[in-house]
Amino acid sequence: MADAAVLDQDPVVAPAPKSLHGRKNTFVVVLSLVVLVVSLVLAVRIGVGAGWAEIGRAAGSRLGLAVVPLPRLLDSLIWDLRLPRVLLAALVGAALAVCGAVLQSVTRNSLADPYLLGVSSGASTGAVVVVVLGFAGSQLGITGGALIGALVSFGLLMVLLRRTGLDSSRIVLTGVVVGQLFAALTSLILLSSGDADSIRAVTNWLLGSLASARWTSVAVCAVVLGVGLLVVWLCSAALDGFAFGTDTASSLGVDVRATRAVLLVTTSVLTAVAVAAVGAVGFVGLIIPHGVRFLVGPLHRKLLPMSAVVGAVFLVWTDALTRVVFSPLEVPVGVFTALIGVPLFLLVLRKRGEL
Amino acid sequence: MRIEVRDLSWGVPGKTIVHDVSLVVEPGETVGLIGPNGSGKSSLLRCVAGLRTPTGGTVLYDGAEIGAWSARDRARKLAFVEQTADTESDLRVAEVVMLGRTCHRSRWRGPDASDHEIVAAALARLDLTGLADRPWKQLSGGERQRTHLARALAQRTSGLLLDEPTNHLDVRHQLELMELAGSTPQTVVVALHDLALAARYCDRLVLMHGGAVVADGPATEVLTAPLLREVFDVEAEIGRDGLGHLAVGYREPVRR
Repeated sequence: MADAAVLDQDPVVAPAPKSLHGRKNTFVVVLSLVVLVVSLVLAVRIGVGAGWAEIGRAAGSRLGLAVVPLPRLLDSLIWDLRLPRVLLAALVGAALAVCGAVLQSVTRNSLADPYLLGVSSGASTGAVVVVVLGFAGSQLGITGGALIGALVSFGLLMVLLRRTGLDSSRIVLTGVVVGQLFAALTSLILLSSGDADSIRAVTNWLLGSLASARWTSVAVCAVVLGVGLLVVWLCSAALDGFAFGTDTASSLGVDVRATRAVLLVTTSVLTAVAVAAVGAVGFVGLIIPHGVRFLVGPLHRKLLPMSAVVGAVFLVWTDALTRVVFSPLEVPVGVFTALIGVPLFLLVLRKRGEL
Repeated sequence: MRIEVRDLSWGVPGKTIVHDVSLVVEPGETVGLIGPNGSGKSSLLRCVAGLRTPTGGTVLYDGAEIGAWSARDRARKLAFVEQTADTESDLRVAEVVMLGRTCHRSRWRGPDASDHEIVAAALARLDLTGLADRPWKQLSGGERQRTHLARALAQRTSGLLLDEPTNHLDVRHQLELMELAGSTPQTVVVALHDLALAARYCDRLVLMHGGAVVADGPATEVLTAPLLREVFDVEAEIGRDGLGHLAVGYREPVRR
């Protein structure tokens, strides 16, 4: 009996089951993209009093189009402050949500989030060093220091993980250890040589703030997110396969070690860039993937892009709210993500019947 | 496909678990792997599937050593069903079975129509069509086991390794599953605890003890009272049941 005969043997083969949530999916994707674009525009408008036309004029005049330029102040407000801030919120939200989704699969742990690998602790150590050494004058100083710190901690993580087979519980434990080490280093530096001002500066930065967004960080984040998202998306089938553990994944044809290494490197770089740009914004990477699984199911081919979109929308709105609610005070957006995120998360759990 | 195991050893530091095993499974054959707990059946299956690197010896698929093969190439030749592969994920039955198509697909593409057809056929074969949209968490142990088997069939390999596939299954599904394993054109190696089931559906039995193969041949030669006493430490009586199938009766050994 040939292999194909196995098929013929079942005369009443049911029609291929529609891909789950089939039509609903296309609808959800289109809808969420529309929501993203509308959110971006609305978020730019909030508190500026500018409409579609003004945003169009600000952008148009820079693209060399024949539009009536805006008044200088409004133009600068929209172009130099609001637009980069909103775009950065979208990029960082997307990056964190995607990293959370990936790490939850790689570690088979639904509590995994982008900071699991200790990258954010490394970033804060880097930021503290810069602040204490007095280079914090320019915002780029903290960002640069945070990026270096994040990459150093990631390097240490990889050194500790080499020759371990990248077993999922090993990844979690090593990540926690590295995180603790850098957290201790941060405290040590702050206590020994920090003054009240630098402590406040660092604390604020750690909680995450988008107030200092500039076009350079938008550009860096956009490029890294674009490449990173493509890389992890191409690993979608492997991420699905991890659901049943290493042996089953490997027997499905997944090169487990190599795939895990690629995913760890990609998520670490994404997280490092995001944290360096805006600080350690919490909760997005943890809840968004869970919420999106509820919408489109657990298959990563859909889960990853949708997490990116929903994460972006979530952070854009959260940041907009922090601006409005506490105006003129600048409250770190990380405080607000948790305040909004916790009830949302509970709602999702309840809907899924897990609470 | 022809599976050959040559002088294979495997262990963890300080303990050899599979000891110098040699074994040939001819194309289309169904071989039952039997032996007490801890005799090395699962470890041997994992080495044959290429999931463990042997500390000695080699595994050959159709005469080719698999040492340097990629996971993808292995997965296209041979499917493996673990004894317990569970998940916290919310995957549905059809999605789990679709995982079997992973090794046949480019990274850039999602499942196409032929993938869906193959999945539907595998579901029908395992009597799961009605459960296609059922989430994993709502499945019974037996339904999970059958889902994994359907996933392995959807992989469309010429070899199939099954580790205790009849665990959790009720009698009817045990018989159906073994009927499938015995009649499929695939080369099958199946680890089993039920000796009578093994005898009835396998072309050949391989008896393992302490990591080594102690007997290899037709059921009537392997299932003998002296061998079962030596390996399982039981007094066994081998006869025929009312339907004419080989049956094994046991009692605890008489100690003197």
